[in-house]
Amino acid sequence: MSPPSNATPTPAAELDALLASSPSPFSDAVLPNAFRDTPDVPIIHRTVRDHLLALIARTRAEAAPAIQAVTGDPGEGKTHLLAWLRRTSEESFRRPDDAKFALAPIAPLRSLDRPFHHVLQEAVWRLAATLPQTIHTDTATDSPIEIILWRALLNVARALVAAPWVEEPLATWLKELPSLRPEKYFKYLAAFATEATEAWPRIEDAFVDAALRLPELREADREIFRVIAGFPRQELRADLVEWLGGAALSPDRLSRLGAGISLDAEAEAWRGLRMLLLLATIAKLPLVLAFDQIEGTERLGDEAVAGFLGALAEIYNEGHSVVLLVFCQTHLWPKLRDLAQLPVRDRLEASPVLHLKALTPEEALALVEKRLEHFWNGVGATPPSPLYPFTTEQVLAQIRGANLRSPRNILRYFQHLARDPGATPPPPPPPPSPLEIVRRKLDSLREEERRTPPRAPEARAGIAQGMVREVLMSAAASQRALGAVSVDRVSQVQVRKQAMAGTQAVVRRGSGVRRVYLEVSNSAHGKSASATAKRLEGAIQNDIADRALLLRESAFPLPPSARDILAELTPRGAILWLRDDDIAPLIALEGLLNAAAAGDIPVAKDVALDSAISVLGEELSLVARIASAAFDDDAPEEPTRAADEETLFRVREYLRTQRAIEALPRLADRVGAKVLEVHAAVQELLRTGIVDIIADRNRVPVVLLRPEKS
Amino acid sequence: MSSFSVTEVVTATRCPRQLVLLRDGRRVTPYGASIGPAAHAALSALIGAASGDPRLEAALARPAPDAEEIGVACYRLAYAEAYRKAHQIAASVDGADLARLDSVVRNLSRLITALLLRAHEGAKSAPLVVRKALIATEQNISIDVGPYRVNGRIDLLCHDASTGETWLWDLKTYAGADAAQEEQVRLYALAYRRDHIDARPALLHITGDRVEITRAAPLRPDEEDHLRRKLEQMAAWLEGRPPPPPAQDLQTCRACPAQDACWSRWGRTLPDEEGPAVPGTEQPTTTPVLTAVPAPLWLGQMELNRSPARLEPVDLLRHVAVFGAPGAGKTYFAKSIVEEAALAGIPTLVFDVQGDLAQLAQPAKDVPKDLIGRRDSYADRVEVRLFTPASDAGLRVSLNPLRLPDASLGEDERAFCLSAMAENLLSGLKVPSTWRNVAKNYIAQHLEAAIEEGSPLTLEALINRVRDPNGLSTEPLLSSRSQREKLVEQLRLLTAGTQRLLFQRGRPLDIGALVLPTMPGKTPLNVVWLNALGDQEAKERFVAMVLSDVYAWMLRNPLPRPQLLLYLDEVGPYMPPSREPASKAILKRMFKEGRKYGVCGLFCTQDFTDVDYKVFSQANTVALGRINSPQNKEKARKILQDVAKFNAQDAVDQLGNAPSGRFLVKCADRFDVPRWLQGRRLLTHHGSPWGEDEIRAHTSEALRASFR
Repeated sequence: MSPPSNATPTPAAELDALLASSPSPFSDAVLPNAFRDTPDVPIIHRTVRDHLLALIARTRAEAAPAIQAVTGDPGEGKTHLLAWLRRTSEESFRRPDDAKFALAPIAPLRSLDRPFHHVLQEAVWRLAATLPQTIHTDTATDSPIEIILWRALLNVARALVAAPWVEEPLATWLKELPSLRPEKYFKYLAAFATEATEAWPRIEDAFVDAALRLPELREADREIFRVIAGFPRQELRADLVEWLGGAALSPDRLSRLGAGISLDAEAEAWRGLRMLLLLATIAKLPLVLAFDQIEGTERLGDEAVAGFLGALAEIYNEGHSVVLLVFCQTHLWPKLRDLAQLPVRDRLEASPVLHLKALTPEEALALVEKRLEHFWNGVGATPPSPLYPFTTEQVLAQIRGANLRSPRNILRYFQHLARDPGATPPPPPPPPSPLEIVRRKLDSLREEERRTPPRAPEARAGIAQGMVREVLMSAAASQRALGAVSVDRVSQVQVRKQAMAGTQAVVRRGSGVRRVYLEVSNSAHGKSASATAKRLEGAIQNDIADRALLLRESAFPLPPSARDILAELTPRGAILWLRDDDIAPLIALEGLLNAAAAGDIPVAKDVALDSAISVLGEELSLVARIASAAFDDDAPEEPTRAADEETLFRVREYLRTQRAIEALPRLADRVGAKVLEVHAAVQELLRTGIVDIIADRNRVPVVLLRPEKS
Repeated sequence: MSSFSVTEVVTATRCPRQLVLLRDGRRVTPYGASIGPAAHAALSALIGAASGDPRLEAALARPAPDAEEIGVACYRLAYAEAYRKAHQIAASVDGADLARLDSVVRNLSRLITALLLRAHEGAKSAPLVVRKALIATEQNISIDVGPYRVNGRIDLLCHDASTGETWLWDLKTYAGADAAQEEQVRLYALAYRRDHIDARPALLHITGDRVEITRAAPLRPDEEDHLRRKLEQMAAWLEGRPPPPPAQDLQTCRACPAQDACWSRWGRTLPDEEGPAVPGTEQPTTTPVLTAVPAPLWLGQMELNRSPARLEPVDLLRHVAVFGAPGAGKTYFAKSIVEEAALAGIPTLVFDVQGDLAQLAQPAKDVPKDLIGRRDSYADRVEVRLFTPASDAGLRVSLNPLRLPDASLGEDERAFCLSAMAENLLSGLKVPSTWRNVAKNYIAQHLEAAIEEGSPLTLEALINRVRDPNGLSTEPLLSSRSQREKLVEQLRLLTAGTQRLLFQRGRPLDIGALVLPTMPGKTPLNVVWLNALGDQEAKERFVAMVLSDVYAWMLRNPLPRPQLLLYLDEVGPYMPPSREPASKAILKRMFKEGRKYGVCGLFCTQDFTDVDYKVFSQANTVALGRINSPQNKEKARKILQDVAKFNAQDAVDQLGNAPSGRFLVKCADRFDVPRWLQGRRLLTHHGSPWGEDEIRAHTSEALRASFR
């Protein structure tokens, strides 16, 4: 949208005023994530881009996996490259028959014991994000995951047309399906979706049975495919995507899906991930899993890095249509790679590392020009040259004189220079304190989080688990007291071999010392929740802890089996309910620590953590509550099964007289009774048909009084 | 013929870039507003079913209808639809918003009930009552203007039988009106005017906790020309020539779901995390926490469950009042609120009469361990400036008693500002009461003339004007020459002695500068230390003048979120029950309108009888500390008695023995019943009042340089 070439140039004074009164054209020197677009200069890192596109094209053509490490110093443009890849993927969805690949950026690992679950959860979360309407034109689909699933089912249906074992009524349906005509291959995805949605109740079972005999599905996990094949049933789609993303759904939701298992345990998550990769292969839509900021995994220790890289090798070994991209700082990559076992290292070294090179002065000039051109177009001004207020000679002289080589340094330098074009060299900006940098980063991360699709409760729990451990470790290292409690030692422990790891902290109050074991779980599935409760039980029985705490968002009632186990443990085992404002600061904290590890902020990880604790202050009161709960013998809430009359009455009255629609955590807060009692009361009201429960966008239950009871 | 929807016109008014993005299929409505369509559907269902509903008809058929019975019938009709819609939208909204839907429906039902009750008088049957009150809903309208057509759908056309007016209401489910919303309802009114229906446009804001009806300005004769120009401009933006400019109110950008697309297409509108603040975008750096999840204000500990007692920053918009006998700890408690507001990024203006509030500049040395982090945050993030009018101890400031309001202000607001300014000038001058009022209006007349001429005004110039009224284009209100001379003689006193120093020495106090930090990322906390001003009268006059500056400033800078907290430790002298000082009229307006403009009030008093009762009604959050006298207890009981299921008498009895720092807090938005809390320890020093030496010691050279 360049202004017409014959437009009258804007007067210099006006241009200068626009420059002074608008955010800098050289903003976003640090790209917060791959979902933010900044003006792109295609000639920068062109070789790397071409290589990546060729890699993806080869994977698509050969249905063979690829793994590629991309290294660069902080600010060289790794995240920008990822953003470009994301944009390329989205733009390829513009024409339904042109979809080349689906991309899912994966955050650094949160827990050393569940790498596959982490990859599955992150991949499905990112792939389920709604595509911008301007980009996605196919009415049948809303997100890349839907495109993958529909395309896979369509291709299965196409393969079945010629299969001799297909019987009626499926055979007729397949024959009559206009969308299967080869020349209309993908343009009729919407038509296929419509027809499949309509016919599925009649043909689903036959379709699944017939499909599983196809050679394409020879390696398919039959149990998981049966569930996924229910995707055309509209009422199940949202649940199905959640399930596929490793959520521990409640038994009734699982039964609606016809699923016997949840994919939240590591073994099942691996089965789910393999199936997803197979479906992407069948859909001829390679899955690009991009691991940015992998330096963040170092937080969990060398073992976690090795485990993570091992998991990547496992995914690679599956041999499907998947591209694994690992982004890492140049100087850290050899160290991280060497932590991997030899066979894994071989895989990683099979393809030479792609290194993001420093920019040439001409590329740097193009970057400056692109930024300024974008700026002048955006404000609707016509400068005498796109480089205004600079000239080509000035820019090149500055770049050479200051030896500017990385995009981030160039942008930062010109941001200062643009404020005072006459100054040479530009006045150095006053260095902000680490506290200030951390505060700004936290603010920016929270802003970004607001625009990010809601995270699954299981992901929130994972983040809380990791970040609570970090804050406790920081308190131990700095001897900082949490209220009246100090922390001596913190470690990750596994109650049993192969079990999920929890956090053990040794805390001290006065002369008393207690060991506390804690896990965060939002799981709604009885088996998963009781496994957590059993680990708490094991921690006490095996003398790992004096107190075992289950941390759980008050939005999620505890399944009865887990409640019973905890009731036996009282008071040594207890639930500590997380308030709805406990999680947001922990999510920001995780982003901050990953940014520090990746060099996106000039603050060391430990300093960043200490500064963040200071900035967040009372918002991290959860950690002090945990420390205090280790000593409060009376405080823990005793798990109860039945709703008591008083609470039942209060909940009903609240819904009748105050608000007939209320989110469960707020209801628990407002009614002024214990959380478990409110949960039990709501269950009772649900059972007797007085209320209904629905889930909001964060999967938080919302209680509604039925209209006839209002 | 090009077509636009009313939504597009409204969007373009709010942000031209959003118009283009909307046409591209992007979502531009903030997520919090997602329950709007469900609320509209509930309203429509209620009105659609009202005529045939047997319960409602039965209730309306009674000779003396029962409001509660009608309300329940209306609510049931509306709630059934809201319930259905809630299921449809749940997966895309937050639970808190969904819960708000029910509150909106309840308030909506109350409003419709009121209309039906008013229409009941003289109506022969229940259906007639309904038809008389509720004329139309969800009706499509269309307006052709030149080559353009605008299509839309109204929310409600109704009739208020008690006033005989026909209203055109546009329902909004969130607080805070803006020009764009007003544009929408005026468009609808324009469509009806073409059909010869004279309906008054109004915005009906029904949020979770209140109903507000904001009348839109009446239609102008040139309304259609205005609309045509607007549509031409919109067509040009859509063609990209010129590219659409960003929203004027950058708060729109902060909440915009299409921010990424906007910035990638036209460039950033807000500075990034590394960049310096850009003029007009300072808000994010002064209120870093407010931009995302506003930090709650932590007041202490609830007695009920020992959980933290919290308010949200937005609660301050509806003002906080703290009452208590001497020693009840009200100043201490109010100071903790000021500290919290500062931590939440809200700039504050504090008037310090005694010298104890200036101590907000000194972080406390000893605080409990759990407050250390917060204290350090305060020390790091809050920029406390000690302003000392008539003294060089702190940051010396002067007052410009003639800071004329913008010509762009509405007539009524401008007249009010000028009248207050004239009143302030006269306060303390010896002008006989028999013609004092005329003198005030006469001065205002000159001030108005100066605005029309567009020239700045000095005291000397005003005195010359007052002496010689020939410059006025209208008849001078003060016709007696001797009275004019007498007035001139008195006004001259303002140019000599301590008054001159007050008006001329030091940097002029600028409210706009008070809300901006000198260092990015800090939150300004401004304390005005009044002790150097001498007598109580001078202090009161100073405060009144600053208040009128704040009022004029807020009209120019509306913001629907807290942007300035105003703290008056003893509000009595400025808002007495019987007298009418200039400050009283300003405060009354500020309390009433402040929340629209982001100005929040925090005020204390030790005696209810010292203060105009309107203070109580304007404060949504009331904290009651120890109260001794029977009169005050009775007032407290009245404040508490309107809360259902709450034993007001019992609470008042407890207030008689409340120890220092224990408060009973009533805040309908946060707690269903008033709650007892123990205030937290201060993060700052609280001791004997400060004098000039301490003030001097706590004013850094860097700050002095910034305010020189």
